[in-house]
Amino acid sequence: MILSATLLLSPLLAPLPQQDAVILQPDAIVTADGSLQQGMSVVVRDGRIVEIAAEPSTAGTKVRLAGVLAPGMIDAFSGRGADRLLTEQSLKTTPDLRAADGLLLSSPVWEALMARGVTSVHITPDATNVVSGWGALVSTGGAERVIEGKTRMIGSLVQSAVTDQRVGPSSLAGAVELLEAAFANGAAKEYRNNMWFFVESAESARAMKNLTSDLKDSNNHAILMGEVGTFGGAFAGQLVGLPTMSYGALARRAATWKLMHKAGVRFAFGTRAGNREWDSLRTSAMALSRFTGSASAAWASVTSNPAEMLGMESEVGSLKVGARADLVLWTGHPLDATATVTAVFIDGTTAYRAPSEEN
Amino acid sequence: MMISTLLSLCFALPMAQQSESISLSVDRLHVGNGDVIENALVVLENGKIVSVIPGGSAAGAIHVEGAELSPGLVDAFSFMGVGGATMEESRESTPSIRLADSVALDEPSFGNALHEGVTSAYLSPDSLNVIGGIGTVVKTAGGVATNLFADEGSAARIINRDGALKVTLGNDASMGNFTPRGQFTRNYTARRPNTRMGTVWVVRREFYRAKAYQKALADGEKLYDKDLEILVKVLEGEIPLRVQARRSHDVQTALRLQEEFGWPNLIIEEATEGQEAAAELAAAGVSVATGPAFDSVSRAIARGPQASELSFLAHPPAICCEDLHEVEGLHSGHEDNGLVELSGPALDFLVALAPRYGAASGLNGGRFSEGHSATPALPALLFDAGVGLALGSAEAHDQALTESSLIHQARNAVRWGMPEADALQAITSRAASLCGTADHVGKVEVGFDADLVLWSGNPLASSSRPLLVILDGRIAVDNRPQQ
Repeated sequence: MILSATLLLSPLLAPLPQQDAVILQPDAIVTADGSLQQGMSVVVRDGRIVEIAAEPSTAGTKVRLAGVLAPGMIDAFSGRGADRLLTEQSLKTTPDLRAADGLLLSSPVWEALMARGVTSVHITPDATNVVSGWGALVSTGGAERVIEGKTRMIGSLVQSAVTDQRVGPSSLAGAVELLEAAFANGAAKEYRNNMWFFVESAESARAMKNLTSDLKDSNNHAILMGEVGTFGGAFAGQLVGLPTMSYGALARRAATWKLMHKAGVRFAFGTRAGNREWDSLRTSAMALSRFTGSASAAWASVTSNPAEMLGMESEVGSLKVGARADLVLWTGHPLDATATVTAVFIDGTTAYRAPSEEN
Repeated sequence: MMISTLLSLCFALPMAQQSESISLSVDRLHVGNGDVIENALVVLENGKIVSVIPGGSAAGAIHVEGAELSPGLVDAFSFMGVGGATMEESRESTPSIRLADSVALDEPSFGNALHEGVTSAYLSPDSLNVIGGIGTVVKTAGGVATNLFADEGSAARIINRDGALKVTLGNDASMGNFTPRGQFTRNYTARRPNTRMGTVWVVRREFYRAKAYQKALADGEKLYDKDLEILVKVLEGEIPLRVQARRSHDVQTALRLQEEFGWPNLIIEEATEGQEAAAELAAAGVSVATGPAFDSVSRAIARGPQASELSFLAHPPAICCEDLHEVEGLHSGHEDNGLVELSGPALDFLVALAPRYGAASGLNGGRFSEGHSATPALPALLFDAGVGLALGSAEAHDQALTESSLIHQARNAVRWGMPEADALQAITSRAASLCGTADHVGKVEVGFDADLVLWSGNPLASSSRPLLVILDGRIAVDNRPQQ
């Protein structure tokens, strides 16, 4: 069975001819709510998904795939694959920095991530400055690696991270003051509506709210660090970032995640400042699924939620017509502990193949 | 049944009675303005006091025999929720930093204060900067608790965002600063000021800049400086100015500065030696928010005992009964216990080495005290001199049980000579005036916020304790004896 699947994959190994559509016919696909749907075909052309149907109307080469086809996972905020640090500590604020300029595209981490089913990584500057710089959404494989070079401006209200004895500030109050000044004098016009704030306490959560209270329909989101239970109530009904954790760390806070889920909080997992194990995105989502009892919330936390936080839900994070064909073929449901990655297609090209058992 | 009663007392009370009407029939009502009404019925609805009926009573009204009702206490000066996150030390003047943005509103200190009958409080920025920022006024409960495991509404709630601007005179503002000599340093502790003179110089510099800014604005120049905007509001009286001044000469410096800049709305904080400048304060019409000088060893602003005083304690003069020394066997046994008895020069030597709390930890490591002549009679002495006065707890409520809680401050003030009616006003209506909330807080009057404390007796009697604390019309603390 596995052997035949490998053979059937061979047409995908070379870049596809531009005009030809490929009709992928897996055993099942993973839908937006995290459930499996059998008998569906995904039609890919020019690196995009053009049709998803049981009987697709688009003509093209049919490829039978053994396994489950899922959208690639997204790391919502990460420092992996960067060339040394993504921080510039000679200044209080560094809004002109771009994480895209600090990448190490030859790093082996990209393939390692593909082997765990991750197809996009949002690389963010370290949250060590009050205004740290622009994030970049990077593809783990394929030819064109930087999907978006200016995604969201990373801000930080984590006191221990932003304070600096030489250049200041010395406190959360000083960090708030710096942001207020940037917002007031127009310097922040470009990013004010597109910021992610690292927060760690009820005070920093409130400061973020006060700073953004006059904004309507902003794309601002919070990334919750520290003891989330002590301030998570401030984010009821919102979409927030959360560092990945080991199973033990998540389990100790099981009651917190249950309460957060009940309060309508949706999560997007990222590995920056989180658990750095290679599989931590998937294992964190699996643990979340267990503690909240919601597989769909857990699946969204590593796919559609990070895409939505980035404002790129039409591009990445789910199987939908028009989106990038960043697909992962699993041996089972991606949140099933026994499932492994068979192959990764990025931009319509086979970017990674798991070593076959014979080897 | 027993269990359910206990549960309801512990948890269910805060939100359950929000929209219900509560009536209290009390033997004595302390209105908060000095008046006392015997037998009164007080009705609360939707968080407000809707009627106060002298001599009234009603079926179903809460009544505890002998209990007396007062307004919820107003803490005129406290540091609840104020920590390292709230103070920006990279500059010595940070007037536009608002405590409301960074104060920790769900700290346990607010709950401690609530259980001691405090329903609203002025929160002061810390005293490490010369111009420290804008303090804020809160209710001690009723805010959004962001802690997922806390009771609903248990966090403090901001009611006056811009309470007052804080200026610190004296040691605190220069604490830890130093002058770099012959070396290059960019650590922010190597900044001005590092003397009392330097502190006052910073105040002058900033307010002269503000005056120039004010004039330039009046001349039609288009300017915006967020710090100077705040100082101009202080010069115009829109935001009150609170100057922390402990030594009597700091108090007098504050008054001189007021003459210089014409601050219309000046309040002195702490005034630990304020009795020595009481006449000047009264003449200038400046109010004082005192803080405890003796609340704990860690915060004692007053000096510790001198070596001579310790020596005096070690060699107490005989005041009576010298003949007792003659009694056989009274002092015997010293030789038997194996210990060498110390006396005379040996004891003096040990006394000189004895650790003393040295006063004023936090003030340059305790080397300088800011209250050489601190006295528990301060409130009474200020009151007698005609100084407008309110009491504050400073850090007292950071601990769960404290002898320096606001009500104890008032009791202590009475003990040292302040009239009862005025001591109660100093923690209710007069404190509310200093907080800028006197139009809806601090009195039991129709239309005021339903913040009330039912005491087991006279609130200022040391045997009284809060039976009920009501905040915004909700029972927040219930210590009534069970039936």
